[in-house]
Amino acid sequence: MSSTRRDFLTGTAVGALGAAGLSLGAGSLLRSAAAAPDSTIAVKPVTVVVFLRGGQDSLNTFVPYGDPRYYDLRPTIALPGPDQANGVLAVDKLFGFHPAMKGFKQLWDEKLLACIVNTGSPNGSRSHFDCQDFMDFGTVGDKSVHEGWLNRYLGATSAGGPEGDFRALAMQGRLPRSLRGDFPVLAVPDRLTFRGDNGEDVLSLFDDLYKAPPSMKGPREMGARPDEDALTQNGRTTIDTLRRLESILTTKAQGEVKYPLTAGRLGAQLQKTARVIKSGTGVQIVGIDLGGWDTHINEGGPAETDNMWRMLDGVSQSVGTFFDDIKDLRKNVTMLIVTEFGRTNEENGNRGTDHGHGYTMFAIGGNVKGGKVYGEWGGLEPARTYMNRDLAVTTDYRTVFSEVLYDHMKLHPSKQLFPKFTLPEAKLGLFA
Amino acid sequence: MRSLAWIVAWGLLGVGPLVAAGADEVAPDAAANQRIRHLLRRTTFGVRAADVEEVKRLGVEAWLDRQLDPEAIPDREVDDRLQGYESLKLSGPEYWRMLEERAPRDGPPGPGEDRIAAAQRRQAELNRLREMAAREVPASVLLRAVYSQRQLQEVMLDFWRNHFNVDVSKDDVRYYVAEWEGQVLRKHLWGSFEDLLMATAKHPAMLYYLDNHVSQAPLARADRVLRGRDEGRTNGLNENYARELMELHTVGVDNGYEQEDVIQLAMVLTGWSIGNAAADRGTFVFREGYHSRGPKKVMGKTVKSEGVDEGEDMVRYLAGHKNTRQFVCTKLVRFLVADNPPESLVQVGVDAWGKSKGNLRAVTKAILTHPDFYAPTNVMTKAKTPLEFVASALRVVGADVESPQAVMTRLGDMYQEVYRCEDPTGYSDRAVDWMDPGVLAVRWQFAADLLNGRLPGVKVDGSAVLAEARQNPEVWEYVLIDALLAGQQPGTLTMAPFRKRVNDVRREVRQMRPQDRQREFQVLATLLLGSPEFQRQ
Repeated sequence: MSSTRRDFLTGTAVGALGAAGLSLGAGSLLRSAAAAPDSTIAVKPVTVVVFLRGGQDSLNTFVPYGDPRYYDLRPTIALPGPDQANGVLAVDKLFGFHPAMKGFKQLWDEKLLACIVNTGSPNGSRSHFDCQDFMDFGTVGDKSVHEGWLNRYLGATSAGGPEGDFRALAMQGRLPRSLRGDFPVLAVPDRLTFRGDNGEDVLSLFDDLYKAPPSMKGPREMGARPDEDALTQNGRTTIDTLRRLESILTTKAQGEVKYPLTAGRLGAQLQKTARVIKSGTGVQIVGIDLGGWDTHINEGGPAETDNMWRMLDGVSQSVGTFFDDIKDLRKNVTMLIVTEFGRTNEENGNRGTDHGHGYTMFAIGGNVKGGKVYGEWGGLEPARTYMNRDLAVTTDYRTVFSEVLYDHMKLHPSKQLFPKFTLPEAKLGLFA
Repeated sequence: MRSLAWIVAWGLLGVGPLVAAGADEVAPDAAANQRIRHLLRRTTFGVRAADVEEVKRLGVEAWLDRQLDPEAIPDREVDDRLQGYESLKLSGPEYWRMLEERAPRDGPPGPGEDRIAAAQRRQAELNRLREMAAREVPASVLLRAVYSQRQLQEVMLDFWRNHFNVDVSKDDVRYYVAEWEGQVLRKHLWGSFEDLLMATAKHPAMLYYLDNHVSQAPLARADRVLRGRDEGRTNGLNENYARELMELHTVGVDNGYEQEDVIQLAMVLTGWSIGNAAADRGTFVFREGYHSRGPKKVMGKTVKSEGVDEGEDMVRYLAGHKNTRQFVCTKLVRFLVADNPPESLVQVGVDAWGKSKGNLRAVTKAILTHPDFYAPTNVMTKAKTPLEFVASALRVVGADVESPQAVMTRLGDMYQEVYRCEDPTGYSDRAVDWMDPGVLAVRWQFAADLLNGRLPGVKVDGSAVLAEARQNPEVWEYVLIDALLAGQQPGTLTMAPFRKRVNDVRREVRQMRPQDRQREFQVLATLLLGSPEFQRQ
């Protein structure tokens, strides 16, 4: 690591950079960063992927209130139209956000948020676990691929230098599967300081034990399996990255906005994400999982105490706060909100919904041409649905992922990261 | 002097590397030792030197047979440690009754209490009672993993607990989990798969967790709209359990069924519910009124019976399905042998299943006694899950866990809270799902806190090891390794830096002040528990 970069990783330098960014605006920050001797400190394009695990009920999130069939299909959980109490937050005559999602509506109004309707996997599985894997690995029905699409991106764009451990992080103690693979990515533990009895650094204690270079010569002993190096490497990444991240993640950035304490850990996770982006360490990919969306029962409708209301309220507030917090860096950041599948158009017997198919994906960021619905709306008419019960898939989710990679992350067009997938000629055109 | 005996047996005294490279260079004794250690790593929650000695004394075969017949093994330490765990023996109905009887009644505030404080006290007490099993059952799982003499039973329960996952954070599951653990899993784990499956299918914990208790024949639309907002009424089919029964519990995903089969099976299971009247609260009931009448066909099989028999027939059909054998045996071999299950051993399990009509004792034994179980490619290649790591750390340091709550919290930090897996898949046991960069730091901190007495309710006494180390300062590292890594096979990566640290203080050990020696033990033991080797099994 160059001394310049090291300096930038210390608290004061980070603070200074953050302050500069906030007072001068994103453009200035980028210019000043580009002018710095070490280009790795520039805030690069960032993609944050939030995965709502369990199969999120899209129809009660981005609601087709203008289609009377919606109310037929969901007699007890439908959300009322925009002119009624607790009604949807309309964006046009057909669609509106769930009434709890004021933060999303605001982002829509600011033209930062795009809705890609009828997104999903062309594979028809309704298994959570297959569909999550397919979404994470960027494959369709192919179980031979076990590497996350985000990890493939990191590998394909790696300069091979020591910058690796900072390019991608999971803001949770386990990697989302989209980040698993050969490229080392840190799963940031929920607790961030590792201290011994006398305040000594527990990480240092293991410095020697995990230092041995993978190329170590000498007799291979019992237990020295081929993957032993992988575990040692894993320990090395753990020590190096955590040591450098600790102060960034635990130090309140200057001008930081207050985050809501709802939606499980999402608020805290996005707060850390913002801190690390602002720190100028060159992070490019952040993965976050949020569980609890498998709403077979008591999903609820338009009451503020209903389950879905509370969950979406938390997500909406947290995401809204995040984009407020990174105001000056919005151009650099795209957030994708994905799930493994949508749920049945018709509610089931228990004020809930069962596993479905297509759903509305959200792309948010300063680079996104927001305030617009993308994709072909399949509608709720049975003949146009999937197997007469679910939203059809008219946009392969890999199309969205590809546009994020090529048009936002500036992946070179020659690189193809999704096996057996050809990008359709007509682009969605999500990015300017 | 067991450490010295061990070192001599391994031919290690004064030798640089621990063991020579090729298997053919290993002495017969050492080879036998290696096999014992491999077996113990997979059939216990952490190998102590005493465990190795026990297998040597009994012989591998006799030891395994004894473990396969756990009822015959006294388990007094567990019984002692679980005294005072009031909820473990409560059935579902008993839990409801207990709540009714012990829920604090309204009354005048106590001395020094105003009305608000009194109400808060009552609420806290009510919450405590409601959460009792959700707290005690997972804690009992940990304590048994650490202290039970019936180690294989506890290991296999870990498998079945995840195969048939339920989550106590889902409302009423917490009232049924004690009975589930005791009367479903523990009772049936060595019997036939069919009996186990049937017990899970009819248990309120599963019926509640996967929503089947409210699933009923779809009503006509008009009735549904009419009844829709009526609190507590349900009015239609719920596919959740039917899908997971096929996908996760029996034949495996997309392995012989389609979406229409999910719907048909859900119809078959309509009416499988939980009683809520005074007489049957918390028990399995079949609600005739919920049940979908009319012909049904699942996986090409026409359902010929009626009522509750339909579901029972289908559960039996799925239990006996050839895809179920294949699927469950593949998972078992992955759990016991290798993350990429060797085909040959899966077949061994499938054959034993066929011969024994799905007897789980026979299937488990067939896998563990087959020569391929010991193939070099299977040795030290599985990673410990967080539960396995934590339990084995507590076992090898001989920790005295008086109160497990601090440990349970740490399991949460490692993303494996017992009985709180939200996904019906249960927790994975594959290395790729646990050994992400970053995870090790949490494990290291646990090791450091454990050995430094920073886990409230947990004590570690290193004095015996220290005394032995003091007598043998020249082989101090082996004394420690013998005590803490008895089941592992240390490689150069750990040994070089570890020895260096030991060598630094080797000469001083005899003269050290006790507290310094204690301190040195803490550091070295932390290193061993945090070593790459200790993360493997």
